Amino acid sequence: MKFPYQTSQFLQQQVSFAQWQQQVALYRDFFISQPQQRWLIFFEDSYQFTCYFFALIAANKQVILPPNGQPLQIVQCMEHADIFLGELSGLNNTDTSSDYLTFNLSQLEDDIKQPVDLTNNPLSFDKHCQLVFFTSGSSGQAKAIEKTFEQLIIEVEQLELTFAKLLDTKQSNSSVPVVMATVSHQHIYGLLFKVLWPIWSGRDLYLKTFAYPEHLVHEIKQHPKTNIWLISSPAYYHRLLADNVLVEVKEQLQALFSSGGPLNSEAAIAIKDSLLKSPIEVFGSTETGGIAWRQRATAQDDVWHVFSGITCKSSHDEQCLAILSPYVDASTWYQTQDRVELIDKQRFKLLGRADRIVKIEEKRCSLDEIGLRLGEHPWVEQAFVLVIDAQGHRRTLAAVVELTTTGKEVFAASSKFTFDKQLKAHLKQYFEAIVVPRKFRYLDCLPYNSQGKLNKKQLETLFD
Amino acid sequence: MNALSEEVKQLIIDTLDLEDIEPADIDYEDALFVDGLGLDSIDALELGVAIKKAYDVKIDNNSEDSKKHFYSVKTLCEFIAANRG
Repeated sequence: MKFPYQTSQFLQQQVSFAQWQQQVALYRDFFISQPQQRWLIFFEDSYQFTCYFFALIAANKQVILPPNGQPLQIVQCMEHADIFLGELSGLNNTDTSSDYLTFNLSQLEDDIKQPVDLTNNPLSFDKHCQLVFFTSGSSGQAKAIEKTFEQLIIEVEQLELTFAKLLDTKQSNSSVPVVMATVSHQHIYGLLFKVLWPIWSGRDLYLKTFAYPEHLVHEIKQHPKTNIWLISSPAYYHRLLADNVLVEVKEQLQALFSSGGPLNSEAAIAIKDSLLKSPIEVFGSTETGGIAWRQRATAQDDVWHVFSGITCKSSHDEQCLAILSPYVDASTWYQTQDRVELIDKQRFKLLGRADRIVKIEEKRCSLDEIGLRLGEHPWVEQAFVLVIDAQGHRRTLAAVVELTTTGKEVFAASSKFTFDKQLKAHLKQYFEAIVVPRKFRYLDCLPYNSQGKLNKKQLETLFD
Repeated sequence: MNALSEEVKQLIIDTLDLEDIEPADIDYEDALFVDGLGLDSIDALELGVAIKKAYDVKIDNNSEDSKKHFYSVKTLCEFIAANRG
């Protein structure tokens, strides 16, 4: 496989695609000479990452991507790797680097002297080249997920097919959009949307990490008249609600992408109202890659569109979604734990996670459904329901609740007992008393991490 | 009766691991189940066992009677007072 387009610019670094390829080819030639096969790679800097990443793939090494650069995370992931390539940020009070082999980056810097002859020795990639991702399993132990380079590229080509036309027809001035991102390239969503897709489709990249939306606005203003595709996550969009600084550059924001976790319908619509377009939400996981997408027109619009090339079915008993996807395995059904209502072959509604269905005293209930019902109460912004197995007491449900402004006012003016009681009364309209949460905790906001996931263990400790 | 009702209220709270609630929050005459305190059928079972143990009373075979006895703190206290061993 070779790069289909040769036009990308790395705007922040002011590097052309040709210059970038030189860098990649130099690294490739060095990596080919190295005996190690399995390379764990971590860089904070996305530009550096792209150079080393493509060089390793071109050298046909197995590329292993840790979800973050925390010292112990790296140690854990090194069980799957022969050598570590990368830079860990300064917070190494626990220096664990002596526990594993680290590639000495200065060897490379010294070597860059003469250009590589790309005409006779072009960059090419073995489609079977292997990558390993990690997903934080709910048990706490990171789980390794294997992919081939070809699977990622098939997905990237599908993204182009699905979205390029949709987005380009909306804008009359057809300047090529620049891709900017707030998410990390170390995760599959960031790797696909912020790195592989623009490079593979010849779009310009602005590779820089934006910690605050203000920084993003500043950079966008430096490139007036340029259309921007923003690759971001619910954690980021939800925080825009209080103070949406992106309004200043809304004319330039041609597309907003969101993935990694659920985006509130209220947030999606508020963004649509203020930025003129609602985010394109992508539903999937590290294991499955993208499965479906949607761009809400209204808060009630909850239909997901399956990417073409993926076949769906749902089981009769639990309505769990199964997919035949070229991003996973085109010939074997992959069973998800997501419950769906299939509307037709290419559309579904999500009903919640099957592993969030529990039995309380023989009563089956969906924790997500109870959480969603709680969220309908005017006092409740959102809620997460979990199972508590207290010692010496029966298994019961508990709810961690984020209150609305009204909710906070009422809470301040009443006792927790009567407040809890009214939320319980609301739920009893739908559920039997047995599955109504008995314990409530109120937080300013639910502690979603930057990947849009909630740490269940942490939430459980609220009830100890 | 007053001391007993305080005791019963505390027993309910402890047995059922109720949170953020003082004996004073439990109304003497209000329904314990469904509406009122909103206890469920498993709570009824657990409370039944606890009351039996604490006061050595026998729960009626007649479910209608039990329902009446377990209706409120007041009815529970009357039941205990009349049947305790």
